Amino acid sequence: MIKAEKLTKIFRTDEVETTALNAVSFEIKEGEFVAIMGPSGCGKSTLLNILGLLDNPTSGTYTFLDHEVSKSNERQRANLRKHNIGFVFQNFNLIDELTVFENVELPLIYLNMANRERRERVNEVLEQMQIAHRAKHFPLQLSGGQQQRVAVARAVIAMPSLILADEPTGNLDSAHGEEVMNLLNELNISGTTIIMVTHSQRDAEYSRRVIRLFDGQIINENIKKSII
Amino acid sequence: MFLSLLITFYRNARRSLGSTVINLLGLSIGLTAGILILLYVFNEYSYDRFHRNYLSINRVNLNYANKDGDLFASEIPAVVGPSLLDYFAEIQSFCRVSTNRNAYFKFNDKIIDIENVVHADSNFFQFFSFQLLKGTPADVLHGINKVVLTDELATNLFGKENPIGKVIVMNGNENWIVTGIAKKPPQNSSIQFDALLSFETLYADPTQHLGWNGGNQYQTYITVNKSFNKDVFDNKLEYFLDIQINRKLEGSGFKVGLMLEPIQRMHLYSLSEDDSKANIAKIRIFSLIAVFILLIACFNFTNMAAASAIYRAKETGIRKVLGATRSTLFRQYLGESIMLCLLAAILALLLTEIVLPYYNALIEKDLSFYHSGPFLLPLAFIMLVLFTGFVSGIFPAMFLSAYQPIVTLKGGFVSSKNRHLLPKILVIIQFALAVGMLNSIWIIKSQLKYISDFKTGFNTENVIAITLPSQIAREKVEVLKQAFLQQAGINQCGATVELPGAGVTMNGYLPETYSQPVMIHVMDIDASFVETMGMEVVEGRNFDEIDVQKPACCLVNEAYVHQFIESEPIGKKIERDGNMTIIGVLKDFHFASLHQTIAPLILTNKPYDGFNFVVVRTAEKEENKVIDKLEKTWFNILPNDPFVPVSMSSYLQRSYVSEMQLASILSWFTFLAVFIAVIGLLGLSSLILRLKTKELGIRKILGASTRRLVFESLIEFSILVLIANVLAIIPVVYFIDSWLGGFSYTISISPVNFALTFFITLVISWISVGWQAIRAAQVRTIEIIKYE
Repeated sequence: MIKAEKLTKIFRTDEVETTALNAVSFEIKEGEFVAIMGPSGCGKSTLLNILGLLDNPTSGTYTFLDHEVSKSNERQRANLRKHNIGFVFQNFNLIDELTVFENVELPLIYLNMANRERRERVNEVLEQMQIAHRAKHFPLQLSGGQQQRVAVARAVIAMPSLILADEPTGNLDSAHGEEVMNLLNELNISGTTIIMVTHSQRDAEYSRRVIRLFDGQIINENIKKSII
Repeated sequence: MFLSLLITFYRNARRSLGSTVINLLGLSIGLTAGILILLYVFNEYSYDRFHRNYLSINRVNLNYANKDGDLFASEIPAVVGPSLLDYFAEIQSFCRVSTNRNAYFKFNDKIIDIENVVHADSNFFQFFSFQLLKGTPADVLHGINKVVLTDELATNLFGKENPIGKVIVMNGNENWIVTGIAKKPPQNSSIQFDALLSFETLYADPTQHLGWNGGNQYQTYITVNKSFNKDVFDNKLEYFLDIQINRKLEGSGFKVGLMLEPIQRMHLYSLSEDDSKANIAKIRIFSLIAVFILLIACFNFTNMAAASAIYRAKETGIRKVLGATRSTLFRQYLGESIMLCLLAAILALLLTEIVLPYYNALIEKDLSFYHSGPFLLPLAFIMLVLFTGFVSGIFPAMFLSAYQPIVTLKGGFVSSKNRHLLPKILVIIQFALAVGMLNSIWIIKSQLKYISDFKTGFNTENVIAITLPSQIAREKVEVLKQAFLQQAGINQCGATVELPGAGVTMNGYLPETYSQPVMIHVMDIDASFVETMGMEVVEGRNFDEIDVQKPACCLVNEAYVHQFIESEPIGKKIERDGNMTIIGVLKDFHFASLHQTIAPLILTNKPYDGFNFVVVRTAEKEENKVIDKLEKTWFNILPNDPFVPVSMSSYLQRSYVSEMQLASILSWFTFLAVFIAVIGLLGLSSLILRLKTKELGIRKILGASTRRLVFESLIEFSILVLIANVLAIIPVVYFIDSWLGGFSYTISISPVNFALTFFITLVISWISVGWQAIRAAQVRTIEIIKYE
């Protein structure tokens, strides 16, 4: 599904040049659950942004679903993204002005799905995430755990083949964090590929493979034998 | 998708209620100004287009070419129309309308003074599309002494009685039969009338000049058929004029030409009328004002959106992550500004309804948005709304849609010292526009004051002019004068054919030693006019009572002496129908408006058809009190003539109606422009200061006092206001210079005006920014730490 070869990302300002990723290469197959770990500033989020087609690498190639996308323009990336990738963020990133229902509905709007079909799908996913009773509430009226459920619902609504989770439990207490991790795990079991950036060893336990980054380079890769 | 956008728009608008209200208020006021000015412009362009066949109607203008250039006239000899029809196969028909004149009509005991009485050819109602309510179009003006009245006038004169067939008396001694009732001409008609007299009546009057040799008082319209070719016509015209008139003028230095002017161009593009220049100038100025006000309102929106972009950065990031492209978001944000504009447009229509009666009173028109036609104006309005939405939304849409989600989703925001550059530039432009308008109105008003205080060379204070409307009245001028002088409070009394101040007739005269006649202004006055008007004789003497019986003599003004006489003017001759001897020189006075310099003037004491006005000088501040006495005396002598007095001061003001109207409209629109700019500044400063809360808190932690922080904020905004004032100077000087060019006597543009405007705008900006700066600077540092 994903093949990264010598991915390099350099940030330049007038005076400083920072190498966030330094010739990183790896492959991720469909249905995998991969955790990316490492200390702050090691390049985890930069890598996730590139994998999520939010940013282009400075050099190297990135093949996503058989498309070489490292030089794609914004429109092409947006198109691939909306059909294939769902995102879950540490700080939920829900639109405060939209209700739970409208937030979850948004990806389907950008996919130009018909209104009726859209409503059915949103209701179905909200039920699945056990948040349907909050459909008309605004994000700020929900607890952190509920907000992250909404974010997960939004990430899966378009049935993407890949979910990228950036510290999904970082803003949650342990009970709510576990709830979210279980959700991700279920999604993975049902066939969705998941790549998760995390600081938490506990969360990383849910994955089958852990990629460790340090100073923009992969220093270690562990493949686990069993799923928790 | 649309619903989702609508929801987001609504919730964002509700969240930032302050900004929304400021934007809505600014845009709706801006759009109201836009509608009002659009209405005005459309009305101006609609002039004379209501005639069914307006595209084939042309007015025939005359131009007199001499060595000094061309002089265009729309009032031409009566013979031109019929001669053209005889000579040119391509001319289908003609219709003549004489110069408007005042008259009074009497029916039974009712006397009404009327402003617009004209003679018109019998095909008037077939030629033009004026509505005839009673009578047959082909017959109503056929024959002599037939009159068609407007419905308004007929109601005033006859009440509910049927006017058709009734005889009315005009100016005391002419009987006219009412043959038709016409609807009052629409306001957007250049031809205006209260009563139409049959043209054939003029041919029955042997004293009328209806040939090529005079009587330039008939506007002549022609229609042309399909074979008309302008080049062919112009070629044939040369020969036609040659045989008709130019051969006779050989050696006079004049050559007559004719020029066709499409009827729909008369109001705005006429070469023969100064009014049309003023009309088109007004359209340009008003359109510019509309654009300025709309821009100021648009920039408010842009500014607020730019300053508050931080609040929408996260939303943009999320939408992008979820698959929205930059163009989707661009369309969304642009759509939002257009939606706001549509809301503002609804408000603007309501506002227009409220202010339209006052606006109509101000510009002396009868405009209405809903009666302006089904298509063009509403379409223009929709274009205006879309344009406004586009202009205000384009920048915010551009930079909002450009946010990178990887930055905004981390709670980051592209922060740089240039972040507020765009809002600052726009504030400068807004203030420069408002300041420009403020400076302009300031100088225009000073000029108008200067004109009203200007020494015209005669004393208009306490002078009343009374029209002599009939032959009987003109014959009794001496009796009237004597009777007036018997009244207490009346100091002097004179008579004249024309009142000075708004221009007087020109005729061809031959000054001594000249071999070619020269067009020179002339006034016919009596012996006591000079003294009554407070004019000064600088050489020789004034007329006396017995000069009238003596051989012809005249007075001239100083300008005449400078131009035509080298030395010793007294005794010099001027030739026209015999010789006149100059007996005195009058100090120059402004017999025309201050738009013109003082030209040479001849004053004679033998009017062709009697005097038209009696002028009365009352004792100091007695003007109002003596009107009753004058009226009583008038009706004792002239029981059948209307008494129509006018104060000389107000008569002189009529020459500046256009400028005064411009000043009033400009004042109102300037007020609106400043208002929108100020609420914009209010909103913007509030947003900027809110965004700077952290900075202000840190400064406080580091030891800055509240006073110092407020001072620094004020200085920041003062610099913007200063730049705006400086930028406005050159365009204002350029505009005012060209406007003042229309006057021969002008004020000089003073730096004080600019300094004062700067001071005013500075104070306004301090007031609007100051209280918010105080509030922001009073922030408790503990809150800042928490907030961070």
